[in-house]
Amino acid sequence: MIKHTQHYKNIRPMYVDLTPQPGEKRLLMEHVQVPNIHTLPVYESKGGYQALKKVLESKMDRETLIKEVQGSAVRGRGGAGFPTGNKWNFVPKNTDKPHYLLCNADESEPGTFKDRVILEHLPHMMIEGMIIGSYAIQAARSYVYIRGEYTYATEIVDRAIQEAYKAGYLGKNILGSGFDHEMVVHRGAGAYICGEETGLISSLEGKKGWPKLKPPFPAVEGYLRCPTVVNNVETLACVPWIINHGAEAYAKIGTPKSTGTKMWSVSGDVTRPGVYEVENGIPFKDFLEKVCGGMKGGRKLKALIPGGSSAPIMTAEEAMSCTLDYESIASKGSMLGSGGMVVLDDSRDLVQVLKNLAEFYREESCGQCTPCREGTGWLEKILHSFTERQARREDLQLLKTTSQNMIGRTICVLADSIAMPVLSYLEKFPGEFENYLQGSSNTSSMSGRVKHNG
Amino acid sequence: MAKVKINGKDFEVPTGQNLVDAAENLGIDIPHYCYHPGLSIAGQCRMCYVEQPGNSKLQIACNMKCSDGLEVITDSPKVKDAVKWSLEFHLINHPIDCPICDQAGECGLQDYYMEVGKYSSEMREHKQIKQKAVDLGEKIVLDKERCILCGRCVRFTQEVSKTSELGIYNRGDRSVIGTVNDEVMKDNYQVNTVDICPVGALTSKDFRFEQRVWFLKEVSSVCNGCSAGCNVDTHHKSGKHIYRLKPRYNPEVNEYWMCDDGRPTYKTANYDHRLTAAKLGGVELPTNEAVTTWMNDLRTLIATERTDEIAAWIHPDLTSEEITSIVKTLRDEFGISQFYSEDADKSARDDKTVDQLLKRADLWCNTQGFLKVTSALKLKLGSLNQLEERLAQAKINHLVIFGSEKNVGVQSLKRIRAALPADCFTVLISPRLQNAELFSHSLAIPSISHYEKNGTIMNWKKIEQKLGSDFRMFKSAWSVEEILTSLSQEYQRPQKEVSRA
Repeated sequence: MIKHTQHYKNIRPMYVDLTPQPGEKRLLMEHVQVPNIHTLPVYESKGGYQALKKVLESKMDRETLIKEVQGSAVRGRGGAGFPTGNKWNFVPKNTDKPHYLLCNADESEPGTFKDRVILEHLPHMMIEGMIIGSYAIQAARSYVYIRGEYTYATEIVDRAIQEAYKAGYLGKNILGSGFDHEMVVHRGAGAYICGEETGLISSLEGKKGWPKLKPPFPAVEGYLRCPTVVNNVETLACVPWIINHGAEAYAKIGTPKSTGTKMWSVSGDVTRPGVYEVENGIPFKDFLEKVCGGMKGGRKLKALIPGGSSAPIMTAEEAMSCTLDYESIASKGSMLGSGGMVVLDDSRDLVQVLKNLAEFYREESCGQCTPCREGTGWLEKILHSFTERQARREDLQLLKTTSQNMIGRTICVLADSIAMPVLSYLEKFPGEFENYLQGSSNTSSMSGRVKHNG
Repeated sequence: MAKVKINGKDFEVPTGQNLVDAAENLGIDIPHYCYHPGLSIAGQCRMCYVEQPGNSKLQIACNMKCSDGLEVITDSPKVKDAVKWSLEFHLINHPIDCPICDQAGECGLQDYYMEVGKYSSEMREHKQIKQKAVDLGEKIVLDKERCILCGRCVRFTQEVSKTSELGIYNRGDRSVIGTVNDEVMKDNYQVNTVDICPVGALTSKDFRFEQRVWFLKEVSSVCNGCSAGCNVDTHHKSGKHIYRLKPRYNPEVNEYWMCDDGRPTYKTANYDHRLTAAKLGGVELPTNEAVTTWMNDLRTLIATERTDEIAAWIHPDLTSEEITSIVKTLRDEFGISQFYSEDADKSARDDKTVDQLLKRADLWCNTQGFLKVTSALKLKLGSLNQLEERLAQAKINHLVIFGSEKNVGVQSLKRIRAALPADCFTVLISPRLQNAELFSHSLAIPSISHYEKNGTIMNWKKIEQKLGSDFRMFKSAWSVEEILTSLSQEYQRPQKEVSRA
């Protein structure tokens, strides 16, 4: 066994209180608090690998299996929300090329840390989901692409995979079904862009983590130009439950279009930040009050970033009137995304928040497409001029046009991930920017900060 | 063929052709930087936006193949605005140092700026600072600030020359082109990256700061570096000086590329290397007088039926027309029977690829044409060894040397010079000064260089290619055909009996 992290000392799990809170509905996290649930025997004692046995021992027809997942209408939990069953169905049925399943565990979206709970506590649930998914798309090999900083999680997943091999859930002729499967852990090197599915594929291929031009889509030409499915950790962890309880049971939970539950990682100004699993469609208001224990220190909600830093911001009113499902959040102009919720109270300076985000996206732009490479830097510089009180009134419009010309203009959506928030902050919180303009010493268009070099 | 609709007009284009190329052939310009027909598709410059009916998102043309029913709009306000902004993104961190940039005049940024630019830049922040004038070895200088990171050069070294020497380092707006550990480039095709660089990031050391490109004219020619026959454009200024060669597209020969060994072959055409006036024993004389002087000696030998004492040395980088003219005049008209040359048979036999790319082992550019013409004219050729032998036996009284301008030809000329008896009348016809210095006692007549020639050469694949030059660098330098025609006219001119001096 390769010790990925042997040179690290004192690695330990993320500190997070996983005590169930009133209002939660736990499908995935049901046993998360059971001691040693990350080990195979404990996981098995809680009904683990039953779904895999159900599929493999009955040699379930692959079409049926995919139909079952399609029937559950489970959607990708990584951010895009694409129906998982459909994604599996896109993989060509008759090719000579090998197929691959890649588990995207490169959780790097600021505000998102829900996959980390699965990786550290429920690795076998993910592995079971991966084996079932691989069986469905006929992949003989799958990879877990783990974020480089997740050292402890890597160790846990690695051990879990070794246990699965020993128990015969991985390797040759799994459970006598004739299905062979290999699973490999690959550590990222700390780039946000490698969480984008084609960036992840490039990185796994040993190349620079540059997203690839689509078409061709990964389902047709992905890893090593073979048909490839890339699924999020949480998505794959949903699969065993769906198989065990049936698609119908899953579809009954949540709303018709956002079935099942969603794990939310909550940070910011709430009494109990943490990772929670709730039924899709519960009102945010209830979620905030019951699950997260309300606003910290009794302060007032100012804004909500619902689905990770790339999700457009919502005002307090919008947040309070929305329910936690894909459609409701989208109707407020934002997105559920990865479920990385950042709650901001009325003491927060949103221009500073936005500048902080812009710095992140500038740092993480891969530099491939021009609008993103240059635009992220430009946005950051303009926002910096706001926080330095050097901005001009025209810069508001400039932020807007620059952002508008970044959206939808690049290979991947990293440019959109900062441009959309910028537009939403400008639209929903114009007063915040106004504050900086009022205090600015350079309100004329002949700004003193003009300095060209070269 | 595929039926496509561009800007509302119907066209028929080859199925599967890249949309950027198809549009270009139809006279519709789709701006692009990263796309190059000889390289894989990157889709990263985001300049080639087109609009598709029913799709609100703009698409990039470089990732579209022409197929039946394809419908795009390249000139809608939406597309124009997007391209304008894309160009603005390219320019915000670009130093815009055109006045001191060698690419000025043939720069993609300048061209599209004039066409689609957003004239009033709103960038008021500090530009990214990157390394300038980075030495990439003997041939190339890199300016990382001017680079727009289109990645053409990187893909070239990965896909064409396969050395993978260049890469893009760092991320985001800190990205730069570079080599591993800043090593120098050894790629023998590296100057192609300068050609395909759409901006002034990669510049050729040979060409930089030599000449403004708008003073240069292009003439199509073929490289004389080896038997590959790569198609080139000769870039010259007013027909007085050649500044560079650039490969010209030919799918059957060299596609878009040429090797770095072929690049400096133009140098022998320039003043420093040229025999610019006819000389007799080191004394300059007009070219027509030189021809008369030559004829006078020749006439005596012909008149006294001593043509077996006359020999001619030729080599296989003369054009097929020149060889024909030599044989027709010297053999058929004057009855000269002794012709010697480099062993073209051996050159053709030993010819093979040097690097699996373009470069060939045979350094003569017209070996195949030489063989074809000489065999068609049934010319009996002797070898260099045989010529040396005959010279040593003092059986040759009059030697005509067609001296190559190439270095590879000089070795043979040195051997001939060594074997040459003092009393042998020697005529050297060559564009190269060094050859004239070697035969300083002889009659030297300047001929034109390869890149001034208009004629045919045949490459190793037996593809006949035209040299289409239209300029002459020195009035006194004549083509071989002109010299021989003049000689023939001189021969036919009624003469008084002149005895040999």
